[in-house]
Amino acid sequence: MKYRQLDRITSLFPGKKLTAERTLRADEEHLLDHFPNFPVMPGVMMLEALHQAAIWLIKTGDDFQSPLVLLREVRGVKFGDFLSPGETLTITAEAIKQEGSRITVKATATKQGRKTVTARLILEKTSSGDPQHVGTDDDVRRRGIKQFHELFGDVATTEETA
Amino acid sequence: MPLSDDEIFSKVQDALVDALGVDDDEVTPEATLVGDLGAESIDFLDIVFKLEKAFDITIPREELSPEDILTNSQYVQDGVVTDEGMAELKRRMPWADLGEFEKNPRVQDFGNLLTVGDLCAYVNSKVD
Amino acid sequence: MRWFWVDRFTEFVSGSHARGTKNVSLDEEVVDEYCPGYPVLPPTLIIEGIAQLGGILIAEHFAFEKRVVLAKVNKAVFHQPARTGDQLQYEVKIDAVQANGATITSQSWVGETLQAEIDLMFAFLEEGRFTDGPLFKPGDLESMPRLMNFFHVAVDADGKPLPKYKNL
Repeated sequence: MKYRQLDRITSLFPGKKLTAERTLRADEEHLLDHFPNFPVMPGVMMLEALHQAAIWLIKTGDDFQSPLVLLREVRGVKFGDFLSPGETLTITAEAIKQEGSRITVKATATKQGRKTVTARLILEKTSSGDPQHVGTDDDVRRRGIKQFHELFGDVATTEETA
Repeated sequence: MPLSDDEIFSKVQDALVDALGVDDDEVTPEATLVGDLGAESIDFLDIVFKLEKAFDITIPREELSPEDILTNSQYVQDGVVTDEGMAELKRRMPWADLGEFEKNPRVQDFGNLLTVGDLCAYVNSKVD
Repeated sequence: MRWFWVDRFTEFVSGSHARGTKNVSLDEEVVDEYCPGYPVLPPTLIIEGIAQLGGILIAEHFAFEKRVVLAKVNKAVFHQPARTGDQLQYEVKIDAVQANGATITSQSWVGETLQAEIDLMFAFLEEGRFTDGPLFKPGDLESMPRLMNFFHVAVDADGKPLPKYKNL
């Protein structure tokens, strides 16, 4: 995944809470445009880190049964501080509500304890809607499981909410 | 038809819940925006936009943030607001309750002054 | 990877609104293996496209003299994912403007279908806060919008081409 925004998962309570890290590298090409005189991680890229944390939180929570986990809404996103090259974000995502197939995740990214972004994300577990014979759902499900292990290896899970 | 105090409070409460991501019951009249509700400067901007929309009023920046007074050497000595400065503040913000602040008017404490009640009083003064 | 999330400005009226297009393609780096087996544009990059259209709309309103940055996403609703082959049509309107910030409202359409609705708040960085001086190098604010067809379509409130701003 080239647009990967989580370097590693540092703790995982499937379906409930996930913490991860993301370090901004000085050689990331988009920095040349954002901004030429002040290279910092774009706010929406920090938001994407929260989004990806929420996706994996939900997928591990139902053992990758849902083929798709799509973002439906984002609320209350506040950008508090900039992230410069070499700095590391600590991402925390927590599922706080479930209504049918829609799950609300509260997520925050911090650097040295200072919040750079906070958000509430609402994601929905869903399927592709493609005709059965195309086999999209099975294909996507299988690839999703494989991708998680390729990206993060064997992630130890915890039952406690620290 | 003029808005009642309750109607004003309710709309101010909605704006603060929206802007700050706090719960309804955290927004009491005595709650300070900075200390109790965690408002940062970005949030003040958001709150201004939301109040302008909710009440169809215009909020010039200096009416809620008297930075020009607080950074004026004529009104501030050694980080403390002078009598002349206090008079200026009262003139600028007649709706605010500056009683507590006046007892020890340190510039660094001003940011934490504003309460939800003060905000409602401000809106009240604008909608009439 | 360039950080351009709008391919083209199709309309721009100073102080009012702007429209632009974003094509979603299979060979985009950000689409590659993002959602394996179901290629989509990461929805946060739709927010960025809107932020770029809206940011330029606000910046132009102040003759490109303010340092405009995204401060809040007040609302973002995605009615359907943006899939490869889709052409997203963005419409952005100035909502309110203050001395130190502005808000915009927007919609993203795929044909006749409403794909997303996004409301954003921008702040103008005060001098000395976070960093000094302009965010862009001389000429950037001219060359980047030019690539996006900006000067071809941009007009003022009277329908005349924009003046030559010194910061461009």
